[in-house]
Order: sequence, then C-alpha cells, then structure tokens
Amino acid sequence: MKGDEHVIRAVNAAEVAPTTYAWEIRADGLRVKAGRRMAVDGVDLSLGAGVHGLLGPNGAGKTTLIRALATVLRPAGGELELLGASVGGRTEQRRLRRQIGYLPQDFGFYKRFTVREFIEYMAWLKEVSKKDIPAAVQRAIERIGLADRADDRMKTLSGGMIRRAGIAQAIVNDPQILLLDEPTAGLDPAQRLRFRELLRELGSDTCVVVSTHLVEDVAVACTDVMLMGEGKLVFRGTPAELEAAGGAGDAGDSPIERGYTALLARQQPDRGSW
Amino acid sequence: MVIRTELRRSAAPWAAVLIVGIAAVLLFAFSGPWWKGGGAWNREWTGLARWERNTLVLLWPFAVGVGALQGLRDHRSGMAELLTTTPRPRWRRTAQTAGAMAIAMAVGYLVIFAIGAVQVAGNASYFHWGWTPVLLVGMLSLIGAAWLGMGIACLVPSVLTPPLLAVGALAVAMVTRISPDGGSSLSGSVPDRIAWLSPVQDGPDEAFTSVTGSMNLAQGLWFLAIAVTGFLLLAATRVATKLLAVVPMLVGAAVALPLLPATAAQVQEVDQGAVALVCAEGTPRVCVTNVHKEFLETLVQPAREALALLAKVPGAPTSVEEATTGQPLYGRRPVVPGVVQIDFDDFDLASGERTTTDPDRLRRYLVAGVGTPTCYGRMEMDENYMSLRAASAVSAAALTGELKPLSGSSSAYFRNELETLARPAWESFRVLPAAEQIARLSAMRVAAETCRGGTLEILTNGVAR
Repeated sequence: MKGDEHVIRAVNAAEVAPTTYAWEIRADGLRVKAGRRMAVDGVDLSLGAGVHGLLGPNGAGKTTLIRALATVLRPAGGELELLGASVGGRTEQRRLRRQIGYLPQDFGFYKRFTVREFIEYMAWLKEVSKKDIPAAVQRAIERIGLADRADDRMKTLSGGMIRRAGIAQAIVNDPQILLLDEPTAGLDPAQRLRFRELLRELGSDTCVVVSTHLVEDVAVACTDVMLMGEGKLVFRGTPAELEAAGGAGDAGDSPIERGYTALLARQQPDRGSW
Repeated sequence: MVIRTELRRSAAPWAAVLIVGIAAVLLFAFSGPWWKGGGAWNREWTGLARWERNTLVLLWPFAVGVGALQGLRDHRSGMAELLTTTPRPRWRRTAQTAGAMAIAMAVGYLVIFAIGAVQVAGNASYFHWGWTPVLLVGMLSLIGAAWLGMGIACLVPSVLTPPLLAVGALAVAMVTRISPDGGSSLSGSVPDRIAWLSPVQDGPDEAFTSVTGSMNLAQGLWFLAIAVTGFLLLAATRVATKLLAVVPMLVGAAVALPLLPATAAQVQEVDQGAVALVCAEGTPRVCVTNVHKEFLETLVQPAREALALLAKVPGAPTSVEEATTGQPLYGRRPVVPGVVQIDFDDFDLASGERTTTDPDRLRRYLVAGVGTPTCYGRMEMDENYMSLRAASAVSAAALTGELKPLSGSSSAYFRNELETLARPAWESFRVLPAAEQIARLSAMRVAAETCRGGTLEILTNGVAR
C-alpha cells in the first residue's frame, strides 16, 4: 500500500454538513435477544469517532450487540440511536443504512464474482451514487491492499484475503459507523499490523466498533475499550486503564491480558478456567 | 453495471448456451416427431415457431431447474445477513438477477429461432408476421419458468429444490403434452383446456395453419402471471407478500382458462394468406398455394402435360390445384370435381424430405387413378389398399405408356406387391383396343372417385367383381 497514491475523492454536501448529534452510537439500557436468550441485557453506550474495541469471552454478547448496531436485530428493549436517529423507522432506516459499514462474523460472498465486481455490487447495494462507484471501489481495494487481486474471482482468494475483501466492502461507502466483527481472524501478522494502521486511519473521522478476541489488537489500535461479560458492559476505558486493572496475581502474559482476566473474574467469580 | 456483472457471473450465460444446445439436439439429431413435409421446423415460418415450442418439453423444465439453482445462490453464499443490512430494497437487487436470467432465456430462445430462420429464409417464399405471437409466448413461458424456479428456491432453499422442481416440471410437461392426443395410456388424463396451460405445443403437419389468437392471448397472459408470481416470491421480504404471490397465478389461470379453446380443432386455424391460390398464366388452370408459390414454375409444364393426357378420358379433371389441407390420418380429403389435387407432402412425391422436381414423376402422380385422390388416410390400410395402388399404377401406365412404380420411396415389399399385381394387369390391359382402354379408364375413374373398390378388376376385366 502506497500511502501517497490514494485516489482522490469528492466530498459531498451531506458529509461536510455539521452533525446534529453528539454521539454516532448511543444506547440506553439496550436489550437485544439472540434467539430466545437475552444476549445483550442493559447496555449503555455513547460512542463517537474513534476506534472502539469490543472485548469479551465467547457468548458474552459481542456479536449480538454488533448485529443490533448493524440493524440486523431489533432491540428488545431500551433505546438505540444511530447517527441521532432512533432505530426502527423504515424510511429512516434506509437513510441510516447508507452510513453503516458492516463485516459480519460469518462473512459470505458470491464466489463467482471477482473482488472488484463484488465490492462494486456492495457499493451499489449501499446506494453509493453510480458515478462515484468505480472510484470508491478502487479506493477501498487499495486501502486493504488487494489491488493486485482485484480482478480475480472471490473463490480463488485465501482466508486472509477474503477477510480483507470483507473489510473493503464494509468501508466502500465511507460509512459514519463501521462495525467489524472479528476482522483480524485469518490475517497473518504482517497483515494485522497493516490492518491496525488502517483502523487508526479510519478512526480519525469514523466511529469504528471492532469486536475481537485478540487483546493485543485492542491495545495498539483502539482509542478505547469496552469489555463485555454475560450481556453487560463490564468495563469501559482506555487501553491503559484496562492494563491498570490487572495485577501481578492475575492470569495473562501481558499487562492488558492480566487486566482483561481481572475485570472478568471480578464480574464472574465462579467462572471456570474456560 | 450490476446487471452486466450478473449476466457474466450468474447462471445466466451457461443457461442460455444449454438452452440452445438442448434445442439444437432435439431439432437436428431426431427425425421426429415432426412430419418431414411442409410443416417441418426448417421449411416455413409458422412451422419453425411452432416446432420450437415443441422443444419446450425439455427447455421448460430446464428453465425451472436452472432458475431454482440461481435462486439458491443467496442461501449458498451465506450472504443473507450482510444483504439485510444494505439500504437498497430487496426487489431492486433481485430484479437485477431476474433480469439477467430473463435476458438469458430470451436470447437462448431467439438464437434457436435464428438458427431455424437461416434455413427457413432459404426455403420459404411466403413471409408473414403471423408466427411472432407463437415465438413471444414461448419466450415468455421460459422467462416465467426461470423466475418461478428462482422464487420457489428462495422460499424453500434446499439443495433438493432445483432437481425436484425440474423433474416435476418435466412430468407436467410430458403429461400435458401427451394427454390431448389419442393412442396413449395418458390420453385424456387431464382436460384439454388444462393441457393447453402448458407451453409445449406440437408443430403443424403442413404449412397451411396457424395458432389461433385466443390461444396465444390466453397462454401469454398465463405465462405473464407465472412470471409475476415468480418475481414476487423472489422479491418478497414479508411472509404476507409471499403468500399473496400466488394470487397473480390464480388470476392468470382464471382469465386464461375460459379464453383457451375447448377442442383441439380450435387450437389452430387456416392461415388464409398461406392457402390463397396462385395460378400460372394461360390454360389449362394450374394453381398452387401462396405458401408453395416457388414450386409453380416447376409444376406448370408437367401439370399441363398430365391434363392433356387426362383429356383423353371422358369426365377426367381439367385443372390442377394444390390441396389446401394436409392428408388426414383417417379418411380422404374432399374431392373437388374437375380438379386434380396435388399434395406436395404425399409420399409419392416427397420421398425423403423434399418434393420431387422430376417432371416424369409429377406427371405420373397427377394422372395416376385418372386424377382421383387416394381413398386412404395416412394411418389406414386394408386388403383393398394394394389393389387400388396397383390400379393407380396401371392407369398411369395406360396414359403415359410405361409402367413404373408410383413412389420413389416405397419399400421393397410395396414394389414387389405392385409388381405381382400391376405387371400382369398392365400386360393384359395394353393389348386391348384403344376405345376399350378409354372406356375402362373412365369406369375405373368413377369407381376410384367414389371409393367403391374393384378398380383393378375394372381395368383387367372391364367390370368390377
């Protein structure tokens, strides 16, 4: 990726207009069901621009929370406001969805499409205006470093490349809210380094929520960290504050891991080693 | 942009190729079910459009199956979740895929027509636009089939959906195709009107008929309704819409059924433009139908020679006209007094596929039986058949002076039988005085015209047994 060769992009009026909301994402006592289980049970959030890491053990409700933010699931209770609009209304939802980028945990794609065709298709579905699509697609592909594979079929890509194509489709519409569920799964160490750099870049003007298992990703790339356990927000703070929460007696190989286990152990004292 | 991608990456391109392939195999590699005469798929425009409809017996189930395969893509790819978060409405997205499939179906169907059209253009002298509804209805039925397959696969996203749908559609196509015909255990298994809801149609035997307007209209509406239902199933996001999707199909059936013809005879009508007679200048009168007008030049000379030969026999016909109906399966076509009718598809003239241009055979055909038509339908034959054939051959020999088989294509069996019956009759006839010969020919003509039988005895003994 050559940073000085970015495609120049026109900025439209909607983008430079002053925002009328304080927080890109605001939740108040948010409750969301996954099937019959209340997987997110009373979460309060107010997130602005920046990279927000979402940590937590399996089954803590991270994916359910992200799916609610992506408008896949409707809240079962509480309040959820995205870009100042309450989630629910139909016409409002369509406008809202143009401003969201989403990489699901199980990212599916049309295998016979080339990378470029697939990203174009997603840009069209996100109602990027027709004349802007080619440039937006090229920009997204270059940002995630797939330019040399842009005209290969999706089915020929390796796992890490597919993940990157997934990120490219999420950012192709220059979203105000970018939701990435396990984006670094399958990336090799060099790609993860590059990805963290991209996250920091995106976080300067976008509200990015990254769900991950990899604690060190959070430490380096995130402006703040949310720790979830059993459907509730256990901790919210900077990576440094997360590190500070752990002591020498807590399990973990790095300060931030020790902080992670300490905070979870405090919430779930009876939880076993897995 | 998106539809271009869909045209390249969906099932559309190879579906179009396979449609052309399947139809080409049916049309080129098999000799039947079409009659190799004037109604053949590569001879006339209406014949082409109607025989292409016959290939739908395989193409239509294929379209349902391939549509279902395409309809499974969202499910197979696991993109459903991502797709629900995009702002563009589902119907706009599915319309692109459905549009690509429709283009593939239409192009495939038109390519088959074009392959036939190249041949027809070289063969047919009668051009008209009457075949277009038959072509368009066939095309619409394929689009409807593909969309219905897509819609059902979205509703029931299982790997078994495409094969089961295709096999089911094949069964429906077969049963509805066979049911209106006689002679099968499936005959009459569904009412004729229901059978005509199927896009599969038999082609014509000859070039004189076209499909009635009410048939085309009713079928067109019905396939449009199927397409609408298919698309609604595909585009629906809510359960209520999915349930309502059957409404267009029900309405389509309700409108189409009363419009469809009640009897098989009403499915087709005489194409007046095709059967209009075109006559040669001068006398005696020699006419062919408009659809075969290119043959008039070949016919006029031998026809006038034949009429000159016939003129020796009192009461013999004095003009030649092409018959405007095909030879029926059972019974004979009506006799027109004073006219020798010529049927270019008669197996005495069209031995392989093409009507002979040999003047000698044309002349012999016209004078055989002293210008009377055969008494037998295409499917008939009894103990008197051979003697009538022999009498025809002898009468032709009497007028032309030489005994020859009437047909170029008859089997060795027929030729032997004729030789054993006709040869002795001819040997005894040729030695008779000229006046007696004429008297016997005249008596034989009357007997043959009325199908009383005993024609060979009249020639050999002077009286019928």
